[in-house]
Amino acid sequence: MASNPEFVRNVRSQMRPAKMVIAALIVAVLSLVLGFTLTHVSVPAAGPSGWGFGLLHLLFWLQALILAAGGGIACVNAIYKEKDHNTFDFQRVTRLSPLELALGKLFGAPAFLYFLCLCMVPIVIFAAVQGQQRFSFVIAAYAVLLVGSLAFQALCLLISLLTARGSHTTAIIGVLIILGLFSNIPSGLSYFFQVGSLSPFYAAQVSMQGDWTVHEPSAPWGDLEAIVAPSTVDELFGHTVRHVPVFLIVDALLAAWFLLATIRNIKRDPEQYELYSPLQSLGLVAFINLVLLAFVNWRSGPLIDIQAALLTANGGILGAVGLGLLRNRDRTRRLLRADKGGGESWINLAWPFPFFFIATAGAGLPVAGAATLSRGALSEWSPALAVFRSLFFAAWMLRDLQFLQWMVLRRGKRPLMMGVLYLTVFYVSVAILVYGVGIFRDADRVPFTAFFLPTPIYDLDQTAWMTRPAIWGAAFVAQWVTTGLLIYAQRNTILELGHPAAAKAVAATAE
Amino acid sequence: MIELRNVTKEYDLPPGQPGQLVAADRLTLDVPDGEVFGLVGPNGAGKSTTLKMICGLMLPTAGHITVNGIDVESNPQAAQQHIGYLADFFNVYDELKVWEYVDYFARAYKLPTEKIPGRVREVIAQMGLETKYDANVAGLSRGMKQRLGIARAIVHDPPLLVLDEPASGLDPKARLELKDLLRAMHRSGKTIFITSHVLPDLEEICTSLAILEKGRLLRHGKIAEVMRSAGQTRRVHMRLASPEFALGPWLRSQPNVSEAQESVGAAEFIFPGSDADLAALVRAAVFAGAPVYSVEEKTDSLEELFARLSSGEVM
Repeated sequence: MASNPEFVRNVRSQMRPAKMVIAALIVAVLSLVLGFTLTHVSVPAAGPSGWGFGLLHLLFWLQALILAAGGGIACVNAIYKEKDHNTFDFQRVTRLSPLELALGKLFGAPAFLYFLCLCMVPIVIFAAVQGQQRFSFVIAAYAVLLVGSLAFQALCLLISLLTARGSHTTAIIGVLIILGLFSNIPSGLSYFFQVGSLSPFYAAQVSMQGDWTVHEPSAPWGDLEAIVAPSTVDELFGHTVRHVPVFLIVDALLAAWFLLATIRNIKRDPEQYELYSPLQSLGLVAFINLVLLAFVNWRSGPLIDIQAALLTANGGILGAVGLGLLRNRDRTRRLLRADKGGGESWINLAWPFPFFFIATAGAGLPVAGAATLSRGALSEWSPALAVFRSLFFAAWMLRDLQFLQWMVLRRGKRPLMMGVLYLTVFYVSVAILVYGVGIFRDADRVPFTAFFLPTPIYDLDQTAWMTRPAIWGAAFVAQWVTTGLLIYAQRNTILELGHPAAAKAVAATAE
Repeated sequence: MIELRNVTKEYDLPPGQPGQLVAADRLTLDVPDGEVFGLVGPNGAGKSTTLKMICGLMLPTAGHITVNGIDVESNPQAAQQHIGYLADFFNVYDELKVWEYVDYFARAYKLPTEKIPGRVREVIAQMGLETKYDANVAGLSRGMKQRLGIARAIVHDPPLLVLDEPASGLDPKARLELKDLLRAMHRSGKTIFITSHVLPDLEEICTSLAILEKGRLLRHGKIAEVMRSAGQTRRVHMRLASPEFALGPWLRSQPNVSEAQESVGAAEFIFPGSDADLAALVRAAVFAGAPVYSVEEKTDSLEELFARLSSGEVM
């Protein structure tokens, strides 16, 4: 890293000797005052409720705040500010490889904040000694802090790359909200997933951990006590494992996925950004599903609810991956011109339908299969209905994504944002009508709501199916018909784009 | 050095206006090694877009660009190694020192580590910034920052410089210095591809030029060729020592003379004949009693030519 020009530039910019000395002095003075004060209080230093432990927890929490929140904001600024100041193009034309440029920014943008944390090491050691905490936990806490912060900073760097002019404040607020949500997920075992927190703030918890022994949780899975209890262990495919290594592996892999998207695009023409290639997108979906299935708690409730939870989690990740696959007008134009006649192939005209169908069905069907295998044949669980639910989920995702793709290809200011806005208005309106006003409240009318909303399908069991099988089937078919209509509309838009002569004639007439 | 083949770049017009804007319309252009090639055109003609496509910063909708024989789209990093690029509006890293700024780009262009300090000093001296070597970039004047930008662009000694409005925002003195600098670089064998609104400056330093309007090339080639291809005719200004001779009526009676306009003791006319024909005309005027004091040929300036071309007079 010391030979990475971008890292060196960041270090030179941020870490002038005078600034470093002042920062180190301030941290040293605060540490001395804090240490002196605490050694003169009557509360004991050691033990779980001693001030040494408390100070250690506070220091790791503060460092997580500095590296995650501060480092995250620094990374959001890293590329955005370069674009805003018209200096980014000069970096793009150098011989720096995309990997070098991305790593230089990832580690360089928060360089001063890493230095601040380094200045805090003496007081961390002081707190650990006073609290009689074993150093293996301090080292583990630092590992969690660094890897967790790195994953979050990698996400922030990617957001920085994708942030359009004028959206900088929104981006910063967005990443802080993500960090807040991520950190407020209960640190104990969650209801459906038997995995602890993946946030860098988990480092504070590790710093106070008492032993490394792996033992079964005292409360049964799914109990409230188990949910709120501090988690030092996870359930990986039914085996109890320590959370720290799981944290390090999962967060490191997440960082790698975020970094991959940044590396793929950092030197590209912004109009040609493509978050992941279709194959990489499939890999990401498979990875997330593997993590979900690895830690899902099949005993936490009825299988139908667990499948709904898994499909909902998939909805989020598939939505994000799907948005990354949308093609804008500029990319589509290039594709149509450059493909020597193949640009108007059915795959391009229907994009992203072919790929996204594989992704959504590929994510949903293993969930149905794994749920079936986890409990065997039980009376309340129908594998056929589970498959139907998965396919319905795929149809619903495809319908919305195809709508967004069509919107993105239409001319207008911020078409994607408008598409998302229309979808939001649609869902809010339908939800108010269905749930607020109470239309279709009767059980035999619930299937009708499946024409508009995906939620009823999550509750579809044998009894519900038997009440109105034809309506459930019609709702399912309606999703595909809508998708087909959207593909047809999109095809026409693409064909218009593919004939510039006609478009120019229109422009000339307008002039 | 640069080859553009049917390069097209299409944008959408702003919402509310139908159709699309063609920033580059099937541009085909060759810029040989060692040329100072000027690209002129009004705002929105597609100059900056063309430059960005040459540098691989923006992909064309269709067509191919090669720099030094390397396809820019398929191998941008290799092509960029041959290019030094300066954008029209840019910032420098204010928090760095002058030498750190140049050093950063020297490292980013992967110059051999042992050669970097020497090269940094050399380039800073070449730009006349040696007294500011250890100064903060934030304290430099606009002209000095522009020179620092050029230092960045040439630090890896590229054979091609792509400069987008390098004189914009510079005071007259800095502009003169820039012209001298570009001439020096041209003498050292660099190919320079430059856009500018200051057409007299371009006329002074360019060996070739292209005129771009609405994404289309109106004319391109050596400056003299462009003038000729624009159908420029010989405009002659004849002055007399005394105004008694009726020069206007006499000129109008001569073959090959047209659009003769007389003023006191002088006349201006269009004469499409050869140099020998012009000499014969002058001799005839003298024999006819005209006290010819001077004869000078007037040529269009680049500004006048551009104004004529872009107004559709030639098209």
